[in-house]
Formats: sequence, C-alpha cells, structure tokens
Amino acid sequence: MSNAGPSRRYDGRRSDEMRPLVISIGELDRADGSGRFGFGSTAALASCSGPLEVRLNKELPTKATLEISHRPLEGVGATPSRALITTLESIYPSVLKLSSHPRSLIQIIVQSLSSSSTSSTSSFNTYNTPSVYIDTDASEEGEPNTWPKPKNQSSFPLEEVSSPIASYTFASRSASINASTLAILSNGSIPMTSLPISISVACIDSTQGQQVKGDLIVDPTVEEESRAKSRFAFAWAFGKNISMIKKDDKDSDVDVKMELDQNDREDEMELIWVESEGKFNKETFSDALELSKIACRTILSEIREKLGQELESKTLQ
Amino acid sequence: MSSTLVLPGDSIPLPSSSKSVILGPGIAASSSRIQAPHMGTTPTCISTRLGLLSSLKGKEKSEQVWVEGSSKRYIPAQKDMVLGTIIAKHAEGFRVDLGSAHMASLEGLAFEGATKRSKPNLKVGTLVYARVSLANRDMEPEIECFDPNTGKAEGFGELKGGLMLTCSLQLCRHLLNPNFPLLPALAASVPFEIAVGLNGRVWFKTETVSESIAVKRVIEGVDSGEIKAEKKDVENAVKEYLA
Repeated sequence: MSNAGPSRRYDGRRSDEMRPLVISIGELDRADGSGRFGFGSTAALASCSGPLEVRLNKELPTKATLEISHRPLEGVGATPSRALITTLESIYPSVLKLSSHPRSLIQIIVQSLSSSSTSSTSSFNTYNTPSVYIDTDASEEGEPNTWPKPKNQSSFPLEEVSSPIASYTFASRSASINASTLAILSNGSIPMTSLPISISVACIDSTQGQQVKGDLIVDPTVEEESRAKSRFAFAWAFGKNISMIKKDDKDSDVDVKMELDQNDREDEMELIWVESEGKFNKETFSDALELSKIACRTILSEIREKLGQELESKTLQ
Repeated sequence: MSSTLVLPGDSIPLPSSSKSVILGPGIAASSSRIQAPHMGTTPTCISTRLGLLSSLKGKEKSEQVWVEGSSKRYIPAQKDMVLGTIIAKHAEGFRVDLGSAHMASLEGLAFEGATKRSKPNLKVGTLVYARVSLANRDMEPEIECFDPNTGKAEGFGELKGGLMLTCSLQLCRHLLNPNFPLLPALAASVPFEIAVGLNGRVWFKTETVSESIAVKRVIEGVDSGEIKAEKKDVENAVKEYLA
C-alpha cells in the first residue's frame, strides 16, 4: 500500500518522498536558541530561551516552567494555535530534563510561516455553507472520490465536519514540532534526553482500473491534505534508552568497561505523539506508522548532516 | 582532541582503555527501560545536547569526556569567573545580574580588605569581576570578589571604564585558553586590558575609543564566524577597523 508503484504526485514526488527540507539553527540573534524547519514552503521558525527568571506565580520548586507560545502567520492565535500549543506541551516536558533547572523559565515561541488551512484552502470553498461538507455517504465507493477531483466540487471529505476547519495542516504541525526541536538544540543550555521528530502522512484515494484504493503519501501538501481521506501526524523520539530516564542524581561512578556500539545509535525510537483525522482502518494506520518511522529517520539523518556542517563552519579552532 | 557530532539521546562511547573517565557537561547516565537481568544496572551514557564530542587525556590514565556545544545562556557553576552588573544594593551586600536565571548575591564582606566598618560602596550599574563561590540549582548563586585563600583581590572587583560586550559561552571558554590565538594576535596590534567572564561577557579597556570599537568588532566577528581566529586574519581585521 505504501509503495504504490510508479504513480507520481502533482509535484513529481514519489509517495514516500518528502519535499526538500529546510533546516537551520541560530538565525535569531537575540533569542538563546532558534531553529527553522520547513517541508518545502510549509515552514515554522521557533525560538527557545532559557533558563530565564520566572514570574513568582509560575515558579515551580522542583522543575523549570515550560512556556510554549505560538504565533500564527496572520491574525491572533485562536483555537488552532491553542491546539498546536497543547500538542507541543504534551511532547516536550517528557524529553527535556526540566528538573535540572528548578525555579526558572524555559520559553519556546513558535512562529508559523505558513498559514493555517483556513485561508490557504479558501479556494476550496471552505466558507461555503456547512451543509456542503455533510456528504451523503462516504462509504459509497468510487463515486465521490475520483482522482484528481474537480476543483469546483466540495473537496472536503465528510470528516472535516467533526474537526475545527480552521486548524493547521498536519504538515504545518509537524514543521512546528521539528522547528521547536531545532530551537532547543540550538539553545544548548537545556538538557534533552531524546530528539522528537515529526512527520505527516495522508491517505488519498486513487483509482487504478476498477479498484479504488487508498494511497499513503508522506508529507502531503496543503492541497493533498484537503483532498485526503485521512490524515496522520506522528512524532517519534530518538535516543538511547528513551523514556526511562534515571532521575537527576545520577551515579557518579560509571562503569568504565561499558562498551557501546555505534551501530544501534539510531535504532531506538519511541512514538510520542499521534494525531489523526478522517476515516481509516487499522491497516492504513499501521502502514502510515511504518512510513512515518522511515521518514523520521530520514529527517534525523538530514538534521545530523546539516547541523554537522553548520557546527563545523562555526567551530573555533 | 577528537570530535564527532552528537545529538541529544545519542549514546556516548566511553573509552575502555582509560582507568577512570570524567564525564563533563552534556553527558548524562541513562538506564535502559527494558531491564535485562543479565545486564545488571550498568548505566549507559547519553548526550543531552547538540555539540561535538570532545575528550582529553588527563594524568594517571584518566580521560575527560564532554560535549562541546554552543549556547548563549549561562548556568552558574562553582569557581567560574564571571562578569556581573550590580542591580540592587541592600544591607548585607549586592544583587548582581550574571545573565543566568537567578540573580547572584555578592556579600559586602567578600572584597579585599573589607570589614564590617568599611564595606565597598558600589553603585547600581557597576560592573564587577567575580568568582562564583556557590552554585546550586536549588539556591541563588553567590559570588565573591576576592580569593578566599589569600584574602587578596587577585584582579577581581569593580571594573572601571572600558567596554563590556556579550558573546557566546563557547568563545569565552576559548578566550581563557592560552593557546587560543585571538587575544595574542589582538594584543600585537592594540594594547588593552581584558577580563573574560565565563558567563558570555567580555570586558576590555583600551586607550582610545577607536581601538575599543576595533577590538569589539573583531571579537564579535570571531564569535559569529566572520573572522577566523587566526593570527593573520585577526591582524588584517584590526588594521581594517582601525583605518
């Protein structure tokens, strides 16, 4: 299902191919750390400052206060922003060692550089009467999901009714997560035990002969997402022994003889966040999960390469 | 000194040949969540920050391992030399801003020759060069402006005149390294007095304003990577800025 032959997408990508990644750190001069991450034009810029002085009413005696805010490209942050913040707040406390900086503040600010789907898909008649989205029957095969769809038709599938329409695309959410990760990396003062990386996957119906089948595509564009039957976003944390972190009072007497092989470096990963929407079955989900694993590994190796170059150019002596 | 890029969560291979290994910043122990019975409780070391894995051979077959990363935010550590600005004055001493999460406290008696009768009277906004005497993540850092062994100032104390600039913590560490070519190269063309704080602040004093500007631009240029920290590049840059 995942590798559906030679069928190419609009922009000529293979189904498991991402848009060219934009990865850079340390762009913002006044923040302690900053990172930009983009799947092609779907990008986000994040800054991470800290540990800073914390306001007394937010001070926690045993760990740092993590404050995440999000700024949309236009307008003020509303429900979709809040949803994204909640996502980030569910990911980062588990990968950061907040207890190493008690009574301080760690501030992450994410600036979206692509608009939420409200405006970008307005060409898809988002603002039409809601009744448009209430499709008659989604299970009816073949009829509504011809590929590619004529644009004047309501291209939103039934599922859009149940979720807020003005939400960020999954690719944009993934970009925000990755940008925040880069920002924390660039900060360098906040201990982190594993590296969260996110990717979006969409399932699009395509007709091959008589059959209608779902094609999974990695890193869908806005257009592809709005056409998709179901959409997923996954975040994987990479790291050795993740999720069981020994508490702060680490033993000072570390066994010297311990050998670590370099090979299993990238093998340990754990799913730390999933968001999905639309109609899908168990197989589709597990296929998407597998795809996301591979894609996140690709992103990780690209981050490694880019940051290696960037660090090398900046190394003193 | 070998170096490879590590990301948080990467396992750190520890040298097996050394007798003892000293783990520096950016490395933490982590135990496997799948408790294999035969493995015992041998902890694994992982990196907790982005940087280059560096190691240095010490005496008696010991080896130091740390992750050399770049950051801008200072986290106080004992015995660090820092530059701080006095932001408040109270009965017992001063509150000093080091650029870290918490204000440091500087006791009025922690100066050379200070007694209960004659404490130094520093104004708010004064820059002091001090040593961190107490750093604990649960407590406010404390700094002192004298060497407690000798009771002498040893260069610590109020810094008069001059100019302070902020740079990355990495550059500050390098500046304190006698083998780092930047300061000798600078000193060859411009005479100056300098105090390097490990909290990302550098103070210096030159004879003229134009020299100050040149020194500042060179240090900032090296920090951002525009100027290479080599003798020739630095000298060319100084010549250009002084002209």
